[in-house]
Amino acid sequence: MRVRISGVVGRTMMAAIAVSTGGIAGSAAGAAALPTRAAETGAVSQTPPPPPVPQRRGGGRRSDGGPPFTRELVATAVEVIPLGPAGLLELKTGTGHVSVVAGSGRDVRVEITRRSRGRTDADAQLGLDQVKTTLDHHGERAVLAAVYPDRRAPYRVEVSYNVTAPANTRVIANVLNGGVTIRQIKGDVTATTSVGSITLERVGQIPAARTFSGDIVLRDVETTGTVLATSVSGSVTADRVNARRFEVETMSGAVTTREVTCLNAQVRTLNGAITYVGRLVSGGRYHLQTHEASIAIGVAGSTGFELQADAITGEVRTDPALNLKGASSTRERVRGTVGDGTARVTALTFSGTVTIEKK
Amino acid sequence: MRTCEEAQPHLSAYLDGDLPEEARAEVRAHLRQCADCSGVLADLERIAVAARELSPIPPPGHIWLEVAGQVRLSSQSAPPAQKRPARSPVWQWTALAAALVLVTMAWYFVQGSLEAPAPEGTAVMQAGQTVPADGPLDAVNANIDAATAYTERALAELEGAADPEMADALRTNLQTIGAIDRAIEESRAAMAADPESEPARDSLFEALRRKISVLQATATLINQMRQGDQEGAARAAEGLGKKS
Repeated sequence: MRVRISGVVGRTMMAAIAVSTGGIAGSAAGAAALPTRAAETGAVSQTPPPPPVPQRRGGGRRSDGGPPFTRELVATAVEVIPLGPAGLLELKTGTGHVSVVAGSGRDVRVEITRRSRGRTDADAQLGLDQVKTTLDHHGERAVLAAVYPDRRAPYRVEVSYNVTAPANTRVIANVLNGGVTIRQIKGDVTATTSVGSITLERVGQIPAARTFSGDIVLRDVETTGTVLATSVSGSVTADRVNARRFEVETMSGAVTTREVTCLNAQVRTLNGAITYVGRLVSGGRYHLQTHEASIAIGVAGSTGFELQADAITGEVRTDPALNLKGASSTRERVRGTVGDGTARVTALTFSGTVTIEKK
Repeated sequence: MRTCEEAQPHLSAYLDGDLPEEARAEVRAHLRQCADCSGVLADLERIAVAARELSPIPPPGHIWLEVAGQVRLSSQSAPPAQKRPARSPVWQWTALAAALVLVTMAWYFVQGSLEAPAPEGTAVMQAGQTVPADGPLDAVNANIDAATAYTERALAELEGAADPEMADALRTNLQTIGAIDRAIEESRAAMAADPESEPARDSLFEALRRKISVLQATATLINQMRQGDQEGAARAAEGLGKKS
């Protein structure tokens, strides 16, 4: 078991500090401005640190109305964690990015970047001194967490993780403010951020991708389980997803899927359009719902289905090529069966248009 | 128990296995011959399932029974409906509304951990409190109003103290409430025009569910952010995907 604070003990391979002003990181002159810490670590990082988390409206301002945080210090360190081929890696940070990609090595390698901003170099340095990461490693499970001792401090510190891990590693990423990107990981992946986008590519299992504010991109996902993606403000895009269950929910944002194959799809948004293009499965259930936008369904393959489509104040349009049988149709409501009707498709919009086409 | 009026007051206890065997047998016999009461029982089961799936902190088990009972009793005081099929829209409406009340109540269990008290002049439903006679939906709306006011207040605190950028993002999120409110009003209007419209009803409850979900998750997130708790924030996000 190892429990430690980064940069103090353990197998930290390299740590470096660079200093910048006005948001420009990595200058040697800046490094010289911090002789004590530079001497401790003995090197200036040769790897460019990840870009800072984009600042939204009012970025850098403080609620006390003082000047913005323009002084910036950056420190990097590397952790090598022997988790085994299918270990569980949990990554936690307040503000910062998390990026995980599969590598060929046997160990997990994490590059930790701490980017501290303050009104003065002293304040920024205080941020680096006080905001640490802790590693709690037990056998095949490791938790790497950023620890913020004082959230009302005169600095703001982003802690980002750039991870290379064995492909079958299971990953849990929890971020308050920042994006999550995970690629090529075949173990279970759970990505949660409060404010930030999530991109999951060529991953094998997705128990969940959740954000309050940000887009979600799922690409080349192959799983026998559930793909779950939820956002409040943000769009969801899914390309080439093969799953047993596909569940997407957002409030204000579009949902676009291409080449999705699943047994059960639940796609809901409030004021975004839904485009669902995929192959239906015999016995499958597919429900698509929005309120003030349109739903476009492109049905690939030959599986028959029952159709129940409603547009309360809008319109439902069906492609004649579907050869809809037993259709009970009005402008705003269509019921009917295509082929053997073994799957079931329901679509509901309040004021938009529902369109069903054969692909 | 020959009549629905005799049987229905015992359905909650029947569902929970709290009835003596003799009364249980009588209810069972009535259910075998009464599609309406079977439908009510099914709806109560649905509420129980909804309560079990509540996040992030499920209320104590007895809470849903109390609410379900109150909703059921308040519905009994309404004029009897015409001959209706099992699981009629009226009962589905009632059951779904009860589920929404439960979600709102769970929200108050959660926000009980927040420092700030609920805003003055707003109605907060407590365990065992009777649902107003003018309908469960009004109770849902009263709680939604209180939740909205509380969330605004918590957000203002966050802006003034911890993280103004995050507060900006969350405020943007809360602006989606405006779209949800439009959806609620449009759906209500559609239901008024056609009370039997299943799509309009589904649309209304989906909008209500979403509003509670956003308020609940945002308030929980604010609370966790004030504590610098990423795991708590993750749990708040989990609430978004839950169905009431």
